[in-house]
Amino acid sequence: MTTLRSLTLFIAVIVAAAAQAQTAPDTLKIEDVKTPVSPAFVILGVAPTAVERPTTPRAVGLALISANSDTSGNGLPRNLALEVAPYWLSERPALTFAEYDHPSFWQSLRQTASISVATRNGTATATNETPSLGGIGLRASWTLGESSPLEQQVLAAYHAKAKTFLLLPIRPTDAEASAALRPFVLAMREAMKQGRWIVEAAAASSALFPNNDLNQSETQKNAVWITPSYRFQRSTFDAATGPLKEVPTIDFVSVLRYMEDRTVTTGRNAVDAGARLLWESDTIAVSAEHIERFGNARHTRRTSILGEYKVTDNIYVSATFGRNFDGENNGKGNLLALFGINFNAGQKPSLLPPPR
Amino acid sequence: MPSQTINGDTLAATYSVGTAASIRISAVIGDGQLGDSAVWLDGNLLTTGDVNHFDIGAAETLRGRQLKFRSIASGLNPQTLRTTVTYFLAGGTTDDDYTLAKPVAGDAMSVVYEATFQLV
Repeated sequence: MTTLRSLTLFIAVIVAAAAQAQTAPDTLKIEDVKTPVSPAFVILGVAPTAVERPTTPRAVGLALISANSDTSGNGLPRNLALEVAPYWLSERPALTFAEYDHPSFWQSLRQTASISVATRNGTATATNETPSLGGIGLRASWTLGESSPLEQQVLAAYHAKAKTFLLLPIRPTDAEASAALRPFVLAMREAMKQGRWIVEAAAASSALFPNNDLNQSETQKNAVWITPSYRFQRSTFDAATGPLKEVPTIDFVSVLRYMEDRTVTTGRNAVDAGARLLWESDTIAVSAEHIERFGNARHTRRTSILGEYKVTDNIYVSATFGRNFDGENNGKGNLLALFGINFNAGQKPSLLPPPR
Repeated sequence: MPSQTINGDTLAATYSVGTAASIRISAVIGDGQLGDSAVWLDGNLLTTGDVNHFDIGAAETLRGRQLKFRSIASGLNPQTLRTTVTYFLAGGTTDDDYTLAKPVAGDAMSVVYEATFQLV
């Protein structure tokens, strides 16, 4: 266990150092603060929602979350997920905004692909040794559809503003250009998400390490899933000042997932189909989800409500309550109650190449 | 002339226009970032916006003159802080390209680039 925790601490320090040089934006929405729930987290069963909205993988992201069923903490985080998007670890000078915004299928997979790993304490054994659970996951997404009218409006306003700076008789400083253009850039980032479908595919596998030995592992679960989602276009834009008019966003997310669970003796193969409706403001997010489970597992369902609150720009808390799938709680009923604290390791962690 | 990558936001170089009937230029804002460029020839504005295979004329009319690019790259892409601008000059003695790279100072901020080419 010491080895795993040392590794956890080491990763945390590295990512924190990578994020330290970055300037946090003055206003973060709750979705900016959150490190996206990775497939590795989902497979370990510590994700607060079973229908996670597709999100943009950061170059490097780190999440720490604690489930209330886990009681063996000794000061270090018990659950950790690290996600890396390999494509963004090197320069992409040929990738234009147009290609980034409307990528081909394969390009979309390349620029959104990420690998995640996660750890979690298992159930203590008779010898009082707490085994470790490890998960590894992959995900990538494809954005469908044309730019929304809102995005086109914001883009035109950005170009108009940028042109005024390009044509100044004296070269403007980075700070001057940034101050003028940043509201338009942030508006553009949000406008790109609205009125378009994003289809994310993911796969993950988890294993138990009985003696906390990487050479001894027992595969526990394997899963693949696809998550189509749509964010309704609700914002309006003021071309004179730049920012979008702040209105809570509404997302529809659906999921189709196949999971093989080797920890049970019957009903090992399950198919989940479900949907989630999410309402989100700057600081609060509320969602409801329902999932039906089929396959050769017993037909069961999960219905839950998830609330998230941004405490600070670097911390948010989440709580999930509802009815879990039958059999998910190790024979302890089907009540679903999770409470999590999530620490952000930077708005957009990035590993920059070494100076040439 | 091979491709060159420079860590910085400013470039001064020469470009041999040879005897070409047409010299074409491009400015590509990379890394999925948002941006625009403006181009001047001896201080006279030629074009702004997306500069892509823009024809600036024949070699005989360009020799001895100065071509200047100014570009803005804004950190739209939430996956990286890097910005890059690649300036292409084609049709002369060689086809040259120079990539300037600089990270934005913070999320959603911008970098201003300038590249000046003495046409010989």
